[in-house]
Amino acid sequence: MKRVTIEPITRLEGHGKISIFLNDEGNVENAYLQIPELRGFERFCEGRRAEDMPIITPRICGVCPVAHHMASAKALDSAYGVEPTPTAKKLRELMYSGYIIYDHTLHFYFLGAPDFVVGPDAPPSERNIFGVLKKVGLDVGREVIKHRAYGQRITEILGGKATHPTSCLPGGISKGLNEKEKEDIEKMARSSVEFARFTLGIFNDVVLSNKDYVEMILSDPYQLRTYNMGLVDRDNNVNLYDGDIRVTDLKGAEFDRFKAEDYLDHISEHVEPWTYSKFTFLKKVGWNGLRDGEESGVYRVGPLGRLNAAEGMATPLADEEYDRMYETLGGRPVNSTLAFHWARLVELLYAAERTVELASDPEITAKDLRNPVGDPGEGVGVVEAARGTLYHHYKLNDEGLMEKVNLIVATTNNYADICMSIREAARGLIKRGEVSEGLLNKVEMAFRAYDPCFACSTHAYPGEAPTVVDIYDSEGSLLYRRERNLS
Amino acid sequence: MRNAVVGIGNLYRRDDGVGIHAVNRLRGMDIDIDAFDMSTANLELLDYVRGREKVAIIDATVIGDEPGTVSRVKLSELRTTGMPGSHGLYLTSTLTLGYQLYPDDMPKEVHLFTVEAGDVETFSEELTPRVEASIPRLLILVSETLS
Repeated sequence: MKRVTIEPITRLEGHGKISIFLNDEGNVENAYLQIPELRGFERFCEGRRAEDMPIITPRICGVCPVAHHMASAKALDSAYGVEPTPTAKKLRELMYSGYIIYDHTLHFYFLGAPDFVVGPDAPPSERNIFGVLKKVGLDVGREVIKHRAYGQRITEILGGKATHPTSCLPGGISKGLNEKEKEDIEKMARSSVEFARFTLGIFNDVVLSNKDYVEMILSDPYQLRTYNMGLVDRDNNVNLYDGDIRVTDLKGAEFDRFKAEDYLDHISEHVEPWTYSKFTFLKKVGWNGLRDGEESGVYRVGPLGRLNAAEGMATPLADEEYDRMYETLGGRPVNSTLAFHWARLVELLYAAERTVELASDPEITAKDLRNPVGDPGEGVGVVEAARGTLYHHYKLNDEGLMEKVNLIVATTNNYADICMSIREAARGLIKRGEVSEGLLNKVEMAFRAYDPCFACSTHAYPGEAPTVVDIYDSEGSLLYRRERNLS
Repeated sequence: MRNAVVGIGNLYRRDDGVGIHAVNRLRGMDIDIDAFDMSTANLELLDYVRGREKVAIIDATVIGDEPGTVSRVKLSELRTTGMPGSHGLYLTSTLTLGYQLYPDDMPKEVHLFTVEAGDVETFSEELTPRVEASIPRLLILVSETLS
């Protein structure tokens, strides 16, 4: 058996290593994305004061701290049996929308666009933000920096800090909004709506107008037929902050729907010996290995998972884009992994529009910021992190200390899908032992679409990530090593 | 606009936080410098440095020097492309991006000071003694450079 190893992966948080196993004919048998690190964040939360959790958990990751902050605060709402005030809910969602604006902007321009805008076959030294700027121009670059900063500024105004916010508390939020801040946010949000539309325009011009790219998006190596999961509102529109967890089947019909606190009745975790990250699956279907199809309990989360699990967007412009995406790609659900990029931009537009809605709400400056908490108990908080559904589950003792912590993060939910997407991409590129030139990048494109974050999924510390590919022959000895030096 | 100093690091990983410790001490002194701290050299750095004449950046290193060694590093010696992990940029990439996008607005001088760490593995907000002892000299260097 021949083994191809790609480790660790560029433009991906934390460490990861891809091993591709070939069969005797030299074709891809299986692929594993191994995550060989353990951080054990859940364990060192035990024994701490519950109110520290929204401050500690954002430290899991500097990329999506707001998602952890929010899921944590919601888990505490639930554990203390308290409903946040109406104003607090709006302020939290407003902060959250700011986070989605900067996170999705960062992913598209810095991580996704290098593959599409610069091109999947361009040399690695050009597939970065500088290569993107060469193509789209410096004016666009300045708009990117500006709107990413807007998203951060919105988070900072509401959260106290842009990267590790501190304001959400069980029962509400510690800081309200004054008229001046409200106006500032509204202005930034309106500008962000235009920016999101502009970005969708770039996607349209660069990706959708290019036949080769559309073919690649729709090509077999990038297809995966799974269930989809995401939070939805009462009308089955995507909601990033709150709602029911909805699962749709392979035909796009509702398969399951549940409240955050019931999640253990609906999803379960599977462990493999070769990785520290767990795999989640739908209990109703069961774990049937790394395979797609109706018989496999694997599901997708994140932008594409969410759009597939919903029936539309709650804001008008994003809803139009939602329809356009499904019309273009052949109806819901879309199974193409690369469509994650498009879905992400539809959400960017939604988040910007939602920020305008919330910031222009006259009641957003009201002073009812917090409801008194009840006695400590057990609670679950769920939000849609930029990368997908995020679960925080806490058990508190009578003194309000943490007894048990369970975190299921977006990348864990998507882990099986990522492994399979890598396998499918590799199958298209390795034939009879021949490894085609574009392997590294096309395999990377398959998992990068998910925007995975290993810091979150293993709760592990991120590090430097040049790429190495090892190819082994059928006896397991190294045939050759291909290194990608990024400097 | 005043000159600025930016400390980069993780305050909870002992000496990795030396840049932030240094910046915090400058904040307590009566000097004409704006002080900022960051976890990583991400894009927010551009918000802190734009519009200023001179900027000093302080970060910890683990390069095999004696713990507490204070060095001035030329930016040209640092790697300029690639990404550390998936969602971050190298310090020089961030600055290069800044100089490309805002050529008229970026500082004329950016000085990087590093302090060799003795321990970045222990969860602690306290510096090791030799790194702690390096701070006065570091602060003098930084304030002289920015004055």
